[in-house]
Amino acid sequence: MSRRRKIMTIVSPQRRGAFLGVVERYWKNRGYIVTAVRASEERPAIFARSPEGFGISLIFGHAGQAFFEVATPCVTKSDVAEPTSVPNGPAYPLGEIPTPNVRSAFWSAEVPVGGTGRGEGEGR
Amino acid sequence: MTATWQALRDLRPDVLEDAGDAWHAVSGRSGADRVRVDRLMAARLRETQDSRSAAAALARLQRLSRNYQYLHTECGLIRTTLNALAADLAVPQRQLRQALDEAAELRFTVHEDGSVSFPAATTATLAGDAPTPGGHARGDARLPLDRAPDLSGAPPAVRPLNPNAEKAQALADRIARAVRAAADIDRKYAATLDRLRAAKGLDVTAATLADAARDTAGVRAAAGRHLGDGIPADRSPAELKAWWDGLPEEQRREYLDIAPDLIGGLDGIPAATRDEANRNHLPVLIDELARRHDDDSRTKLEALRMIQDRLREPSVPPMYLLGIGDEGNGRAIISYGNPDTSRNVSAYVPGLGTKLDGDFVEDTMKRAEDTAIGARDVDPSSASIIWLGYDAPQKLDVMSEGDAERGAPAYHSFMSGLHSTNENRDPHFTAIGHSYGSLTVGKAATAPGGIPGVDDIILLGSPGVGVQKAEELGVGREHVFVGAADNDPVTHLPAKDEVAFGGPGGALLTRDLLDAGNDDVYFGKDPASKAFGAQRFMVDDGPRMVRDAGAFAAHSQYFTPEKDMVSAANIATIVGGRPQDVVEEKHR
Repeated sequence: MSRRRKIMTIVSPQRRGAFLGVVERYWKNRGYIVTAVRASEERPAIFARSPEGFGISLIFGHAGQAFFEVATPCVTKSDVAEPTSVPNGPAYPLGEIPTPNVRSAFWSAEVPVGGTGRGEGEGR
Repeated sequence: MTATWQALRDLRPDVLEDAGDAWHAVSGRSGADRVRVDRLMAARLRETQDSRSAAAALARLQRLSRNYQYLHTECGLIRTTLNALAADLAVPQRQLRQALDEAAELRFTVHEDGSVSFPAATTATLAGDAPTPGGHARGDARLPLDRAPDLSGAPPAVRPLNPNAEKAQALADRIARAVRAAADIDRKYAATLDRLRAAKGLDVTAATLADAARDTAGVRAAAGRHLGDGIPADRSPAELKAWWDGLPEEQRREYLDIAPDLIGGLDGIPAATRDEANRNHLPVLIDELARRHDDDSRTKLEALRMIQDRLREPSVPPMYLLGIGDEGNGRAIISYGNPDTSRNVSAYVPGLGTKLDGDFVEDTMKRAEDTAIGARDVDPSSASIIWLGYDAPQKLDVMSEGDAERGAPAYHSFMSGLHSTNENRDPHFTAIGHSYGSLTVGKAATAPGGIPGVDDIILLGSPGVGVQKAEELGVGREHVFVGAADNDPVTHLPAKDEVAFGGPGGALLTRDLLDAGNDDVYFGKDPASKAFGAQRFMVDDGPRMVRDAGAFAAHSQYFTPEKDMVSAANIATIVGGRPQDVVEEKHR
């Protein structure tokens, strides 16, 4: 089964690559293997697999919105409870999640990251 | 109505039609009221805390909703019955009025009992002109061939016949036949209307609503022909759309309520209408199959019930039932997202082993849903369709090109319908063929004119598509995309002339799966090969057939983010109109 999350923070086109880089470093440190990378400036994406067989992806899509998805390895079919974690913003109903509307001084800045990016990943 | 010719002559079908209009208005208002009550109920369900009074209020709302639904259905049935009655009675009335006009012209008198008297005349005989007296002809409603021969033994009179006698007899017969036909129609409809009578103080329960479905079938039997004759079924999807758009609202309602099976599968009818028609027809189909007891019917019945359950749940993207049927291995066409309002639309043709069963609902339909969810992240104006509109081969060793050749025209027609109902100025259509379905897509693409409206083609787990090169598919080789997992055995099926024994499946196991030098597969050039020249995108290799005991698993995970995130994202990005974003893979 899988879980999907949309990111409400505006990530400027200039900083999407840096955002991906931060995530990639974090994943690699956790021992994830990167399986594919989409090297697009406007809509980059990265796909990885954890040592336990979980699939995980970060994809930029419509209106520059970033999407996280995690999938479990094969499991026997059973009822699954809704997630209990609370978003750190409004909990939009399914199908009514807007495009990014939260500005971040760092991620929304429309200039490339100069030197070392301060990784303050605001994953929601 | 007393069956007299005077009553038939003076009958005013427009009065029946006016009455039909009034019932239509009540039906329409009840339908709208029911929607309002249902909305209110949904809101209550969301907001309410678990309290006894809230539960009681909900129960009352449910009862109100059922009442409105019953009114909507039954009043709609009365409307259709009255309209059909008016249309059917118009025929004998016209025949009667014609006969009366002719009688008046001949100066014959039509009597109250329908008999016709004629005046005296002179007749030319061998002996010269002779006067013949006037007379009286009594009508006979039986057609000439139905009449028993006259065995009374009396020889026909030799005296000269008044030439008016024969004409008068013919007129009297026509009048009698018209009156009898009207009486038959009257009886038939009276019975139908009588069954629609509701008991006083009726409590509308689930059982009553089931009766309402039976009432619908009753009216369908009486009025169905009148509706079926109206459909220009041999026309193109674009012409069918024009026909539908030109129908008055009231007639469209009749088709939707009384004969939904006649329009639910028509290419060219708007998606929202097809959805409503098929949802109306689904319970009837389920009821029919539930009365049969063979394995095939049970399999289809299970699938239809599962589909019905899913249709009842609210979903994002919303489901549209664009086709449903029990012919062949079963038919089901479902869209996730509205294909008429979405700019991006994909239609996926499933392959080997697909039929209308539980697996279809749980796995095959989910593939289209996954594609829709992914494509809407790329462009929110996207819809994805699963098109089971043909009989796919059920086993590897019975796989020939015949099923694809039969399926291609149906797919062509379906896409042509989508093309004429899509409301966007510049829609983007993607044809997806999985497994044997890629051959069906290939056959449709190589037919004259190609697949209507299709900009991009995706071939997944393909055993070949019947052509040697991607450009033969008519959309340009840069618009043909191929997903082929290295461990997917179907993409390695040896060419037919290599098959030594046991069919392609048997040969597969005895042959090196990764024969690098050979790019011919079962139905032509391997679409993943350099020679074919399509855009191959990255997919997971999948579990190996023998070593990982994966069997055909690698053949079945292209669409599924849980199993192959990269492939699912690549499909979504093409369908969503951003093919430049695919993650590429080297050719084989």
